[in-house]
Amino acid sequence: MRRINIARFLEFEYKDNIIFKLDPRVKLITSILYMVLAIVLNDVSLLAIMLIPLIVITLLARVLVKFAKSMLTLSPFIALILIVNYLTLNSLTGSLIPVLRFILFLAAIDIFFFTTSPDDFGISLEYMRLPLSISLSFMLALRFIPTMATLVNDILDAQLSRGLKIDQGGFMKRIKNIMPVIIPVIILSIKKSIEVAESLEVRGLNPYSKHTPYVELNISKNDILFLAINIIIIVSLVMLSILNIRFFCF
Amino acid sequence: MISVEGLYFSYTGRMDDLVLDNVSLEIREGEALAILGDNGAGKTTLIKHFNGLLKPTKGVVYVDGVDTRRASVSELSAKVGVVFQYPEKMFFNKTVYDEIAFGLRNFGYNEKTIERIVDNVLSIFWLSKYKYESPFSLSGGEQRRLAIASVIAWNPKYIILDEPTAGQDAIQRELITNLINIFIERGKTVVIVTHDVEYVAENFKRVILMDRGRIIYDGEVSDLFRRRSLLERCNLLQPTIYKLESRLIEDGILKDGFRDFRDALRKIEDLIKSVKIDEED
Amino acid sequence: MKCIRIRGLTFKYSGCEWYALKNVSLDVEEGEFILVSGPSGGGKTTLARTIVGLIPHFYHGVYNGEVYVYDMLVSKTPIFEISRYVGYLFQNPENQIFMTTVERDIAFGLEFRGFNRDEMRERVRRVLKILNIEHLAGRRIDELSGGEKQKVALAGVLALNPKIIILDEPTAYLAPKSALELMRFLKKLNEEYNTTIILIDHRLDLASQVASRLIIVSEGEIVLDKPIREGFSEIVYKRYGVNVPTLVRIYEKVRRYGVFKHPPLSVDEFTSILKMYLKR
Repeated sequence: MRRINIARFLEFEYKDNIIFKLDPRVKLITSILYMVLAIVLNDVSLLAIMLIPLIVITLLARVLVKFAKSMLTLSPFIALILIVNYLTLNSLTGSLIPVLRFILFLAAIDIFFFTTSPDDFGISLEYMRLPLSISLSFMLALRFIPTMATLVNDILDAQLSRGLKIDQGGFMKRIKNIMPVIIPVIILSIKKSIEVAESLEVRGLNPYSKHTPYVELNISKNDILFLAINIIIIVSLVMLSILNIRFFCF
Repeated sequence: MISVEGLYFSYTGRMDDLVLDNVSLEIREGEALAILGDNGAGKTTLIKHFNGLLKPTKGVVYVDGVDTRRASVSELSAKVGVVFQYPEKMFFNKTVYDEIAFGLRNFGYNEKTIERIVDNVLSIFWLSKYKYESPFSLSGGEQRRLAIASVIAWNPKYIILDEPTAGQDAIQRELITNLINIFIERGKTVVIVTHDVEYVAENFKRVILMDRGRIIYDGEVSDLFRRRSLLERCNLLQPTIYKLESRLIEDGILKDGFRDFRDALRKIEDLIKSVKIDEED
Repeated sequence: MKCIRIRGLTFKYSGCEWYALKNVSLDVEEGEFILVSGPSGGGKTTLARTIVGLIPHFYHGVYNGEVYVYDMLVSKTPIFEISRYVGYLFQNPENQIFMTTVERDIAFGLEFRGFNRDEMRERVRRVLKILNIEHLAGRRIDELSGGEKQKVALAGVLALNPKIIILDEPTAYLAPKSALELMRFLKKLNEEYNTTIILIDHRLDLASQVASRLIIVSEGEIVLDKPIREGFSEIVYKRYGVNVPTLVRIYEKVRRYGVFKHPPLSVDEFTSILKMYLKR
């Protein structure tokens, strides 16, 4: 029986290593820079090279397996991008570009979300002067992803136990069979959000008052080192791109 | 019979983070059994093996001789009806009728039979007047009964209930207790997972205690409930009559223990009456 | 001093046909420990919501009557203000823990009140000590048990030093021993800090040992409001849809012998009274 793994894409699970302990702002900036780079670079070889630092980071953070699993779940989608582009452009390298972009983009996002807790994410947004309502909304949304995933699994278990079959039948039938899962999930999500909103109210949530975070963020040597190394890599790749240096000529 | 033989289970498949650790258990047809234990002890994980929602990492679970790894959840659910915690969250139909018919339709019953069964089930669960109402318009207690009804509808041989009285007030608790007793009287095999020791003390004879993925006790209710330290180790408390019994025996007032609640009442009454008799002498 | 005064409170949730509360009046003195029970849907939670201000500010509807918390008129005071005096704990710890680590979650409410970091740290330290959970200080929430999570949630509520704490079935998701521990902490808070406690619970067998006053709400009305023992005596006559503790049921059967003047609320009490009677 398949367990729902959508949550795995953004879920934070604590691990004890350097990357997890880095300042969230540093990780956020690095991730954003890599995402921008993935869009800006136009050459297959450079995009492929960009994979290296990202894989190294996921290795150091020990989230490589998790990342690989999420890629695996998305493989049909990735294959689709590859095929559609190949058919339209008729070039292998050309169709690899969007595929690599997709993977790199996701890698950059995952590195951030796998290694940063929702509260740290919220604080980094706050430090970047985003309004409290936004940083809190993001933080809470992330924090409740695992809760929602459990909810979906519970409903699925309950309906399977009533004889629901989800692996059978043609496309239309399968859609119809998901209703007994989707409807309760939607209803319960709404209920849950009301319950959480209530809790926030009575704890004194006030997006308009001055907010003093309990935790103070401090940049350490590791943070500066991490940021420096990644900026050097990114700048080098940008330079290579500008100078049009290619490593493989197709 | 449900037979669990050397069951090990881990969500990751690795033997170093087991949720169930070498569980063996036999549930005979017609038995009524309560499973107790702290949150996280593995009770819900265990019952999910009875209808195949979870398959063993190691070991085997047989339901009426069928290995659960070789059967689908749908096939097993036809025989093993599982009602999870707060089951009302699974509602999605427009009418109470459809909610009960859902399971029946999944198991291939024809509409005429379904009509007959639903009417019958509604009357057993005291929900007949809501036949065409929305399940969401029912009160908390009625929703709970509806949820149980929608699983009982296809008359599974084994009925497993996870915390059936959770969040219910006294009246509803009593109604549910009565319903469960009706199932037992009709020869169904009933297994409940619960924290409600008072309820278990009054209604069950066999009890299983789980702790950190293992079964650490499998036996008589009245025996287990006398073992205070074992219960407390599992975050449970002794039911009142057993606490009372041990104090009265300690203070020399009582010689024999209580067999159950009715017995406790009788013995205490007798003690009091014995004084009156002495006074009258 | 009266910390809560309710006069003629009537409320209907918007979109609902019937009244959730009908002409309810109630006075609460500072330092009381009140147990509120009654059938589901009877109005207990609705009543609690009107005290902290969730009604009418979060749940809208037809509202009549007055609720005063100290000298604040709840209908005219934002929840942010009232929550300085009234702490509120819900059933499910999952819904009221927002951070990933214990200390940060406890400090969550403090972050909006203009305290500086040292003041916040001091308060967090203090509540960890009061609740005996100092050993949980550096821990992550996902490592905690249900009972520990509920204590962390309570710590978060306590950090603001509220004079009144309302708890709506706080033991619903807890195993019996954790439930009893929580009740004992509430008793400690009540006795040592004079915190007014309003506990809504079905588990009367546990709650009866810590509360001093029993209120039963049914069909939108207060049908019983008595000191705890008298309250249980009345339950013997009329159930009101509450879980009658086992000892009270035993008392009910042997009442006519006159051994017990009122329902015993603990096993200790029961045995000592019985012992004295039998010595004669």
